Amino acid sequence: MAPLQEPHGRALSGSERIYGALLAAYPKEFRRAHGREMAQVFRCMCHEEVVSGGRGGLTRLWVRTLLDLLATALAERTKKALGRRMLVGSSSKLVRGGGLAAAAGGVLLIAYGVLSWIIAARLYGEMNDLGGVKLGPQASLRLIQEVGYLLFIGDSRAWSDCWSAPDGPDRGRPDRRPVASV
Amino acid sequence: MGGHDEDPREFLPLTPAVLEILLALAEEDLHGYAIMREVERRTGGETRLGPGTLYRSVGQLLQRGWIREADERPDPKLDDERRRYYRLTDLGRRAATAEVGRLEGLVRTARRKGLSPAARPRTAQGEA
Repeated sequence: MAPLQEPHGRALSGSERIYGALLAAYPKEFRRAHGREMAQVFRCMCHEEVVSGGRGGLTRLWVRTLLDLLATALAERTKKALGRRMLVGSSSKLVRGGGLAAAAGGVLLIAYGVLSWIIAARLYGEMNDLGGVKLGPQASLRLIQEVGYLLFIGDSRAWSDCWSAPDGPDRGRPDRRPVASV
Repeated sequence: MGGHDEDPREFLPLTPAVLEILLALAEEDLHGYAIMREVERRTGGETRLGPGTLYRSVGQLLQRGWIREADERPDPKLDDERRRYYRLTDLGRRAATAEVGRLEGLVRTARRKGLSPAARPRTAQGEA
């Protein structure tokens, strides 16, 4: 892969780091199976968009990628949740668990509000470092909503992993190989 | 891995993404990014698979045994050895063929009813 000049190189590395962190929205099993390759593919896409379309191309790529990530992460989370429900089996157990689920839902909603603001503020800072990409108030609010949603459906442990590891959720795992170049 | 003994026709209709991936792999082994590029090239940029859609579909196809990881690489010297290449299996080929057959039947019906893009719409004919 040809080296990119500043600020494109910075935008590229920033995008890769953010995408690596956002992969935490997928279930752990899915990330283990495909996370490294997805990051690799996204890196190639970013490189291509930056070379051909500059910052505008990268912004369009981000919009497409976020929509794709939201839709597929939700689908994978739903599939996982339905799989668990099938394992539980009897509906009576589900009814008994309803009260507990409602209480847990309330706690999650509160956590959702608090955590989404914290994480979105961090992401907002990252985005502003992406080669000068600035977000307006509406875009910021949208970002906060999307990040909050990801948190709500995401794996909280994975989020804590990815925010403590600079290169995303897969860093440091023995079964991971480094992201390849184009 | 599950579902290898199932009849591929049970999974019809296929999602557009799954069919696109099977078509991309019909002639050669490809890695994920190459699949994405091939789909985009063949559809003239009309269909763009995101990484999530691509690997969600790849995961399903691996699980069904319709594709598998290729043992050998097209040219190891020209490529990154960490990339995984995917290969269409016989089962995957049968599934793609079944889906294409289903679509052909649909197109035949559409043509019979005057819904072919080549035919002029009836309302336009009446107005002309």
